[in-house]
Amino acid sequence: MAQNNPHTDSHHDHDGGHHIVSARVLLTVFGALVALTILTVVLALMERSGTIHFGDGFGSVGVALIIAGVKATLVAMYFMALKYDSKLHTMAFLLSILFLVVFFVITYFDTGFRGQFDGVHDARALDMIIMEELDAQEVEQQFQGLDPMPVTRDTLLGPPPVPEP
Amino acid sequence: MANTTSITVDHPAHGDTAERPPHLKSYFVSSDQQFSAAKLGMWLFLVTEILLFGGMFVAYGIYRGMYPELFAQASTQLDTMLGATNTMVLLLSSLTVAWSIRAIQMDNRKLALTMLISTIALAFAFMVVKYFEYTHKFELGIYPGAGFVFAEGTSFTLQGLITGAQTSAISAAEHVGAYIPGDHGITDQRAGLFFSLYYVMTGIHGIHVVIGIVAISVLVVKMWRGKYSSAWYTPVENVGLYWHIVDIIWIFLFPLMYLI
Repeated sequence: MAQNNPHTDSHHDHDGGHHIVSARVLLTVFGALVALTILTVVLALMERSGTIHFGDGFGSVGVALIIAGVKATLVAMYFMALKYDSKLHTMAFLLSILFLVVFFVITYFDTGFRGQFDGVHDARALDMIIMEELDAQEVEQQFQGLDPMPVTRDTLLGPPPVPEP
Repeated sequence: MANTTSITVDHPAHGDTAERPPHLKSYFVSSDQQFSAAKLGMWLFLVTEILLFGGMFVAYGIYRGMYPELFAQASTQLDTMLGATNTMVLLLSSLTVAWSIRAIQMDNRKLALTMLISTIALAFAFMVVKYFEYTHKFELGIYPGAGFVFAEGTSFTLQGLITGAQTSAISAAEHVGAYIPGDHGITDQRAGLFFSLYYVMTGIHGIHVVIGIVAISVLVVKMWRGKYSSAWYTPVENVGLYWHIVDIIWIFLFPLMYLI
């Protein structure tokens, strides 16, 4: 801690706001970031040329995103010094990522399943069917006793099929 | 969190003088309180930055889920090595910013200045590479904006995209010269979807880099005039945080755009 800032000396161990990240840590983290970048590029080029295959679907993008996630975590922990900082800042950071996940998942629930419920258009709700049945009964009652030749199944559709012996 | 519970007041313990350091605003009890308030504010701003880019990342994820082959094909138009170079440049610039904060914490103003100026140089290098990438695509006829608008009257519904829009999108794209089959190896008529996301996401990221250059330049001028020391370097710390977020966003942009 700096000499001309004595009031922070008393509690800088648990304060977290003025931690000086050591040169060794900064250089190690940078080395790891470079190595991970090379790794992700090499993996992508190998997959593009067909040398390796991470599987269809989420495979290759999953590997790339995990490597990117590790890199982002390294930057946040050491370069942004979240590791030595107030937990409140880490919480704000993680909450923003949580909301991104919520954002993505809910959007995917909408877009990801479109066209999978097309059969629903042909179906009718149960109360609609009941309503139509009640309407039909009402109409039927209006015509009861008026029709000299009541409409029966036989007059409309012809005689019933003869059951096979 | 310690600052919010236990407040250390500048100097009054010594009793004799109520002298306050020049950087300390009247409405803060101590330098530490002022520092943590500024830093919390910066983090809340960074949260909004993450959510700003998050919307675009969600759009990317949804559309990539819909058209995985389109994204794989269109992505081959991006130069992986230029993208990787830019990733390294940004990672190095993050290191120099972190080193500059470390230097000013140890009152090494000269080193802090050198590191900040290196950061600006690296940011410019990033933008120069970006410039060459963009102009190369313009030469291929891959433009942002108008070239990728679906044909007029085309419904933007999913159904419209899948069936009706295909032919009209080709004719519209051919009309403005944006899409020529076989010209650059793109056979999918809706490749504009990928390049629209590419231009918007890298473009807004690029704007953030430019804003970062301006902010760090202000730091350089003020540090040159001796405004910062280990007793007060809050702006250096906060601009540093901003620069790291710009770096983190690129860390995700790079594999998603270049490495499909």
